Amino acid sequence: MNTYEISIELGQLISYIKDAETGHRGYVITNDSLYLEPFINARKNVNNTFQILNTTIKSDSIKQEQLKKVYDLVDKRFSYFKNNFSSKKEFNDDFRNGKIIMDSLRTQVNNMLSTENKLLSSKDKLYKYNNSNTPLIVFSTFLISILILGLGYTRIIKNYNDLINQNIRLKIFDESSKQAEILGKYGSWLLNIKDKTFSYSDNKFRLLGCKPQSFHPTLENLLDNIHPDDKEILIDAFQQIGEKESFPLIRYRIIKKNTLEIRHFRTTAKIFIDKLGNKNMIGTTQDITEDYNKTQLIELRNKELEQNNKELMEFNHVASHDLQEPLRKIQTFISRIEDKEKDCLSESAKGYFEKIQEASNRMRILIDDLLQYSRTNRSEKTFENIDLNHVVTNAISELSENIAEKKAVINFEKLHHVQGIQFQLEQLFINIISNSLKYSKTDETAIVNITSKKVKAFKVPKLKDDSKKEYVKISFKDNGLGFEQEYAEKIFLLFNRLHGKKEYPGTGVGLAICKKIVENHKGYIFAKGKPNEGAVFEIYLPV
Amino acid sequence: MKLFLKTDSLFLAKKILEEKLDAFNIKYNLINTNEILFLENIDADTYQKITSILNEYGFEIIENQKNIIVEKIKETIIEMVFNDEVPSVKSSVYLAEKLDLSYGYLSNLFSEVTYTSIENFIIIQKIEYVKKLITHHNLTLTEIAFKLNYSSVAHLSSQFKNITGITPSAFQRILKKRNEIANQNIN
Amino acid sequence: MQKDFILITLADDDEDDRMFFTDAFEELKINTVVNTVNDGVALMNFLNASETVLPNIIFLDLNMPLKSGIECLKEIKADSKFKDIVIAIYSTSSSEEDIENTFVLGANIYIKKPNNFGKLKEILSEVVTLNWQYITSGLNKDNFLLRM
Repeated sequence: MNTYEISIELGQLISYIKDAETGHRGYVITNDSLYLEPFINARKNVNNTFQILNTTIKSDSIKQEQLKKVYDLVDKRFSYFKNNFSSKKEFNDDFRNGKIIMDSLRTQVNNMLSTENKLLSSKDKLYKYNNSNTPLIVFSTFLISILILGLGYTRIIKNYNDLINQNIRLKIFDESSKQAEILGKYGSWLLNIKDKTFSYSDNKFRLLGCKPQSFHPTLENLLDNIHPDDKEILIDAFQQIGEKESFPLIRYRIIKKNTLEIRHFRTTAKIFIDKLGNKNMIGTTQDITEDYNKTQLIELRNKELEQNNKELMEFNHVASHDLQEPLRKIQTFISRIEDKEKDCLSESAKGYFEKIQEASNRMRILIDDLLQYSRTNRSEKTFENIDLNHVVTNAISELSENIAEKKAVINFEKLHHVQGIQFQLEQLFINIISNSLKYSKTDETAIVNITSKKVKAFKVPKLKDDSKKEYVKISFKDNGLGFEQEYAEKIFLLFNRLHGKKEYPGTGVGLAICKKIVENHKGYIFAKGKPNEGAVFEIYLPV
Repeated sequence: MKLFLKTDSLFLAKKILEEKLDAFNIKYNLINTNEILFLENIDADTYQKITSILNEYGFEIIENQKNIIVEKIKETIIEMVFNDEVPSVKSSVYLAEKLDLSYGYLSNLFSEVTYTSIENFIIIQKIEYVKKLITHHNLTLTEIAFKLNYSSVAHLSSQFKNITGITPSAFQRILKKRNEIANQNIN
Repeated sequence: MQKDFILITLADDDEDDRMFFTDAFEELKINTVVNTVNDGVALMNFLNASETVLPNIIFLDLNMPLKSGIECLKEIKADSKFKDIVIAIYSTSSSEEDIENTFVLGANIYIKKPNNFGKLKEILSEVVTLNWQYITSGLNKDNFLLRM
């Protein structure tokens, strides 16, 4: 609180100077040295006061500046204190000058004092304010502490509840995984890689035909239950843990300890490093005996089915192929008799002979068609990129005689490419075109228009395929006899015919072959017909 | 050591013919080493001797006039077919003009000697040319059809198939596979 | 035809087929000499015998005991001394794969045995005639493919 001291000291300074003035005046008037003593003391006191003030305001440069001015004025005032004057006028002048300096000194000191007082009052205010705030701060601190304590408490309680919940969940999970292990016929195991300590879940023991935790599993007794032929598999797998820190999926057999039954196991495992840096191998072993047996059975059935199918096809092929030989001879001999001996036959024998000829011809057609049908199954299925323009050209040249005979017109625009088997597609085109030629009208030029375009599967509802797979749609439109729409599916069945043998010879194999070929190509075939207006065959083949 | 020789078979043939024929002391003219025009009558005995001697040197006698004409017809047809410029006239007219004989006569003669018709022979040669173009020039069927004046690929294909029993594309495929096998065997 | 005779050999295990074959040539007015063998082994023995005059055309049945037609075809094609012989497959099969396969292996002609004697004569006549063209008209034998 040096403001206070400064005010006091400044007040004293003025009074000391007044003392000096009074002493000096007394001496000048009286010339009595008694008056000199207060004057000299005042001088000492002024110096003392300046000393004190100087130390007090040492740190404040503004105040020091003010003090220096005061000091200069004091010094000036003292310079007018003379003991002897040459004239009354000199004394009067000095006295007058001393008064002026004294006045400015007073003003200066008052200035300083007012500054100090202002400072003092502001400090006083601050103090008062501080005094009034203190209880509020103490109280707030207290409240905050309580709050923090409360929060900490709820937090701890919450964590504690979480922990309890987690524990419950863990127990539930543990229980359900135990049940799952029993139901799913699997067990789990854990291997600490560093310590080589092993632990099995309860069910792992059961799977081995032992009571839960009835022995301590180790790497040494690991192989005890394993089928002798499969021990190598496990040894290799566990070796991988050390070498590559991984575990392959393995299948092996074990012999159950209690029943001595052979079971099929599958084991997989994964490395797991916990937060403490321990490397563990966590594994699951499953008893897959039932699945294994089922797969075996399915495989066996499949093989049987394949074998049956193959035999059937083989039979079909061999039968039709080997039937050809004797039939060909019969027909050749028939032709020889016809050429050479027919004239020698009686009329009825000639009739019988013609019947034999017809029957053998029909048999020939049947066998040929059957052979072709069986061949569409036999051929290897390597798909190539096929230009349908070539296919249609070859089909037309194959049918050139037939087309010329019927004076038919086959139109086709630029066709697309598909993935397929060249000669099968040619057969398909030949069969469909020749079908159109066969059922053409006698009084009209037979016309077959062949077009193709690309379509997306989902845009054609009848394909029953919602994918974006692309197909080439090939249409064969003719102006022939057509058929009732209700037969549209029937015409593709083997040996199915819509007309009598006499009117239109045929075996009902041609369109069945078409269907077969299209199916071989994973495509679709549809027929649309209207009696006397013609038929449209639509084929969808994958691009 | 090795000697590399170049032979002129025509020169050789001419030399041999002259040498052998001169020995018989007969007047003759040689036309291009494939025709001998005798300028006097020759008896059967001498004829026999000449043919047997020439046979020894690999000359085959195309005996009579008919054969000569047939050979000429064949030559003309082959020339006509394998020449890239297709004659503007019908082949019957072309042949008759070239050989200066009536087409009817040529046709009958040809069938009599070769058991096949001129038309058929032309087609066989055309197909032969197609085969050559397929195997050696890597032309597409469209290009070949155009080059040989076929109205369409379909027409070419069907004629090819009629003669050979197989389609041109099958032919192409078979030859390609044969080459692949041959190359495998070499490697 | 001026060349003496066309030499023809048929290898077929079927007696009736051999008969049809020889009868057909007998009725055709072509100068041919036909001899037949009963199987593939007999064929190869015949071809490899030193006194044999090699045939112009061999007709080869595919399905024969002891040695199949395919085996014969491969052996004949592998031996350069037989390179001038035209091979005609003579079979009941009309499988496209069989046909293409034999062509690829070097056969020149594929004949599906017809079921009519008149047709047989027609085919054999055509084969011999066309073959004759290949011999006399300078056609490239490598390109000689014919399916009947």
